Amino acid sequence: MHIRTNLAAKMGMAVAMIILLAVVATTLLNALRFDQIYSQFIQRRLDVILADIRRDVVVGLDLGLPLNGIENLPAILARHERGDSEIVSITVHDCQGSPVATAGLVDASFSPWMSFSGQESWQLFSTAGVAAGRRVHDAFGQCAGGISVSYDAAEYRATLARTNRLLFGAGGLALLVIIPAMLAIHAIFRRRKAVFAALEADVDRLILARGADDVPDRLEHSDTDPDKALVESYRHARLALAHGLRGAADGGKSAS
Amino acid sequence: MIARRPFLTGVGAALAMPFLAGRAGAAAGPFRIHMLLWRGETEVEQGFRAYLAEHQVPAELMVRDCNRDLGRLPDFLAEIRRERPDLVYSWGTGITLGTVGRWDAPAEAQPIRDIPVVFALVSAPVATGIAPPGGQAPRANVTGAVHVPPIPVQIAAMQAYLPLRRIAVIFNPAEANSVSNVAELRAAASAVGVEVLQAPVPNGPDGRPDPASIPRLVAELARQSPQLLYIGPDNFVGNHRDELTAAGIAHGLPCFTATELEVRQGDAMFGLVSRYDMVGRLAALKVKQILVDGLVPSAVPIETLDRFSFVIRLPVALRLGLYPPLPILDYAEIIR
Amino acid sequence: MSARLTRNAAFRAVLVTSLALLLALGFISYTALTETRAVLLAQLAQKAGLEVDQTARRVDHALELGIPLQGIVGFDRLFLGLQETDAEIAFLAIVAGDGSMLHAAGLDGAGIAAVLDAPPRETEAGLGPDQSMRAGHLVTRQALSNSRSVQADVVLGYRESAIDRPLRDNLLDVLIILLAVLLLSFEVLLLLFTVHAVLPARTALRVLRNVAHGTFNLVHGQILRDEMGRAMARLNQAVRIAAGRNMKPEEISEPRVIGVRLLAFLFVFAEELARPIMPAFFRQVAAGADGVPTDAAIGWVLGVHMLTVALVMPLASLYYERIGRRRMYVAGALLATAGLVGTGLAQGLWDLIAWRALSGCGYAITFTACQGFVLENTDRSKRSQGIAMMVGGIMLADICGPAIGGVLAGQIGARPTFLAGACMALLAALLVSVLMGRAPPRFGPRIAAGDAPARIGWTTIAETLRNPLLLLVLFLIAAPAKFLLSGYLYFLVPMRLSETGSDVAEIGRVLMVYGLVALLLGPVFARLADRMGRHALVAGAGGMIAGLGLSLAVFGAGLPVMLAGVAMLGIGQALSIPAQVSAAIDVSGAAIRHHGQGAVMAVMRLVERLVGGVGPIITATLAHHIGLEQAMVVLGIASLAMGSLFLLLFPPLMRLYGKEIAT
Repeated sequence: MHIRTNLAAKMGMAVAMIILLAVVATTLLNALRFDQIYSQFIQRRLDVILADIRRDVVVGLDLGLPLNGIENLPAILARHERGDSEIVSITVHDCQGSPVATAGLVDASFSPWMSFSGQESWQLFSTAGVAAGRRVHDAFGQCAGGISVSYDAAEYRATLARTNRLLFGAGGLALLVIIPAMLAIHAIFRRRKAVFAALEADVDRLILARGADDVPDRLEHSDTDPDKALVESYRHARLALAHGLRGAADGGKSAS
Repeated sequence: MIARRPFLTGVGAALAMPFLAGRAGAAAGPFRIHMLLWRGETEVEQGFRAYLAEHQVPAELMVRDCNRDLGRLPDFLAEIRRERPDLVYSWGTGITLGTVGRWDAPAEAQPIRDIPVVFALVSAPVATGIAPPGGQAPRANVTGAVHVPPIPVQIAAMQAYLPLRRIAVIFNPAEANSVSNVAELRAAASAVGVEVLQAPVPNGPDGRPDPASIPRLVAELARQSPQLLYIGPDNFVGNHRDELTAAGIAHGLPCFTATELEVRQGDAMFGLVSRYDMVGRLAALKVKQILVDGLVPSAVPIETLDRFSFVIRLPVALRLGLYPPLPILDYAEIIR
Repeated sequence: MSARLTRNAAFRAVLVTSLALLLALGFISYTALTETRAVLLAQLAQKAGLEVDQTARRVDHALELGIPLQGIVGFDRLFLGLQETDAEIAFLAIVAGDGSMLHAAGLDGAGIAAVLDAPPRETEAGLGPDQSMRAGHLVTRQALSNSRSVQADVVLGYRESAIDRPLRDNLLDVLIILLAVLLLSFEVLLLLFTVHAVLPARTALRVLRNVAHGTFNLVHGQILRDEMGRAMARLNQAVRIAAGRNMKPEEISEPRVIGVRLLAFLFVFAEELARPIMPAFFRQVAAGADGVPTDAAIGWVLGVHMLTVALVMPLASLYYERIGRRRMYVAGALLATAGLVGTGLAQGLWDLIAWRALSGCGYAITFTACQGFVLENTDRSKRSQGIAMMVGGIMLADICGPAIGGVLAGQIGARPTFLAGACMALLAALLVSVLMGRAPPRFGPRIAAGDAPARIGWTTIAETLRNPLLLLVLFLIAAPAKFLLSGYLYFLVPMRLSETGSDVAEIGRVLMVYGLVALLLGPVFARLADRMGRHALVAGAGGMIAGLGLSLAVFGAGLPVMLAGVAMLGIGQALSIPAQVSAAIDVSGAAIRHHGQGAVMAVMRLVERLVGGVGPIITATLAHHIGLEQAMVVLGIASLAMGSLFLLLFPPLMRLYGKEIAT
């Protein structure tokens, strides 16, 4: 099968692949990193709220009050929920996971603390929702319950989506640099094509002329190192090649 | 020579194990608990009952009040040996020592050995000999709730309020409890570079410690510029706490306490305490572990609360001009 | 020389690629930076608002209790508490209506006043009504409600670096990718150009020179599908015609020795990818193995790999002739793949040891195959160049591997990073036919001593090691160098870095410094050493420099000290390693005459690697007892001592024994 390619195309493909690899890797990295950092920032915000609520709960527990007997707990939760526009709901629950006090819009189907029941502190950043929580201990060191704060998952997803769109858009735009790069590669190796085409044509003519003396060389000069020496070497060998071809032609003639 | 008595004690304990493990699984009516009290029911017992009720532990509580007279104890103990309740609850060091004796005493000197005993409000179980020191095996039938925070924790609480270089303490040298407490205080304080100035109360003409000496002792201590006066688990000082705190305030010295009443009802400025009802709850938790969860008492550790109450008497603080630092205000209980 | 380079089309192609990459990645990073900054600022502003509110409420509570505003105690402790959750908090203050500082923490009153007096930047989106950006700080205010006598505000200041620092880490990662891709693109384009232009041109030259002499018995055997290939095909046709019917010309081609760069790169890269996470991962997996303290266990796992390499390499050399380089490389690469997959999935200490041993086998076998490939296809004159190509590929992998691995592990985790390494090893196995080429060995099937990887027997080892001068070089310079590499660079540095809070990407960057320093300074020092001719001196100096770098840990092994230590290790080793080889050759004249240079070098490598293999084991045990920092200092001082001892002992011993043994 005859596929006519040239070195420019091969190098161009290689350069395109390299740029593609780098752009894809960088874009992916930026997207992943942003997700990481963004979640971290949200997490820290939620931690501030959790720590504050925990202090109030602990004071109540240390007075010997049960979780549902701590005065003003619903009011405390409501104040925190109002104080931050992206907080959707806050729940204080007992060790079995049943809510004891809540504030905000509570989604009965979303109880993230249930999946983290063994852990001191947890966070969840998923399509199901965004939330963080802490366990609370009583004065005996045993589980007394937990606090869970839910963040506006739609806002989180929307911000992520918007940023990802921007990043991937930038990546796509960056890929456009392949075009000038390949054009430049083409320009670098352009002469080579002409040089070897001329060389090929010259050998062709020699063959057709059966090595006759009078075939002028119409060779091109190359300025690329390996090829320059090659063209020079060909020039030196041209005469001998012509002789050889003539000899074979004559030998053929004499044989027949 | 093989020490026979400890060996026998060990064997005896092993034999008594089936009796000491709770009747977990045997659902024959409520648990019978004899409660040996010193001065009637206090908040400790309230917390105790509340915990049992909240956790649905079926218990029949037989209250036996000594009414500040240890002479009544032997009758109660005889009753216990007859009735054989599931568990005995004892209030305070005196009653507990009377009930279970010292850990290293011979068997005859340990009245109740085969029924689980849970104590509350013993301030220093190891110093008073109720519990063996660390490194030794725990007693087979004794555990309980200690209400006094460990001394290093107390010192940390003092340091959280004000920078500490010197602590002054007035104590009754006749009370062994108090003496050992002061010794422990010295050791823990020197570990963090704090000096302890001690002033034992001298005896008066009647041969008993003299309360009139308190103001003079405070004045002498104040000349050496301590940052605070420490009130330990000392009965004499406890009975005369008002004289002590007033003398302290007169010299600009706050009092720190490790027991509730001095700051709730007295004029100590601050303290790291266990609320009595929490101590009762802790004792009830241990009772639950023994009777319901089936643990042997030796597997239930003698311990204090995990978190203590930092209590501040605000008027005293304002008067002395020693304002509580902001971080403490987050969790302290303020008495106005 | 450099003029030639710029005219060379390959380098121009690399330049084009580099520019394109800089543009593309720069654009992406700039976009990422500006977009994400706004989002993060909004989040930070919200958090600051919450914290100021909490602080104000606490102060209000104190005021309500009757504590006067001026008498508030513990304000700085409040600040410290906030600082624990976020180190970028600059200051917390209570400011009266007239601007006087009633309380100040984090900065002194004058500093805070300077910030508050600075003009606010134009309103940024995401800030609340009481927030502003001033003098590089995010400032949040809230009034106290209980302050009756004096109107006062609580003011909280965050440094802007709270946002910039995580973004800077991101940028560093992108720079790492850029650096690695630049190096790789250089390699790939150079390879392509060499294989598609330089080598066919060389073959064509040989054919044409032959033709110029009037002989037509050689034709071009590497006809590619491009313009040169078409021209050469036509030439072949002409030569065949000229040769006539009776003669069948021989097809010749140049062996693709340059392929060894990528081949060596690939199998080392596969290993080095997981290098930054190895100690931490091994500790996590080996925790809980009974009877073995975890720190020592890490040392065992790290060491078993090098020990296996040391022991298997001579064995592999034995079988080289029978198996041949292609099959050997593929076998090694597949073993390495299996080893890496196994390590990634390992569940316990013995698992780890088994799979690392397997990886070590694979490494040794592929290494031997690459070495053999070079030896078969280069004559004496080009041999060192060929080996240098292989070493170059390895060094490149030493740079790119940990750097990329750190970034990767930070994103996808430890186990998947091992699996990624396994994929690279598999890729190596798949690419071997392309990279090694099907051409038979240039110098024919004859395998004379030194043309295949050396076979060493006991007599070789005995005679080589009987030489006290070589023993000096070996045990005071060469083996300690490997010990430092495996004990310090592979174990102490990652462990200490993760102890002091560096994330995986940062560990990868620090490890990369070693390779980078060696790459940049290696050729410079090699020329220096050659010119000086005093190989032993240079080798000793190298050991001492490395030792000095490690000893800096006596000032506390924080990040800057370790960077310096790694860099100096790189410098020391770049100086010492080529000098070691020359010094060893200088002193082993007799052994070389009897067994060949390859064999003598192989003995040296064997001993080196054995010592290198126990490096992590001994270092881990040492660190277990005296701590990581102290272990660094001990290693550093030991290397210093050995280097100086070498410099003391070598010259007199050379005078004593030199004539007997070296000639």
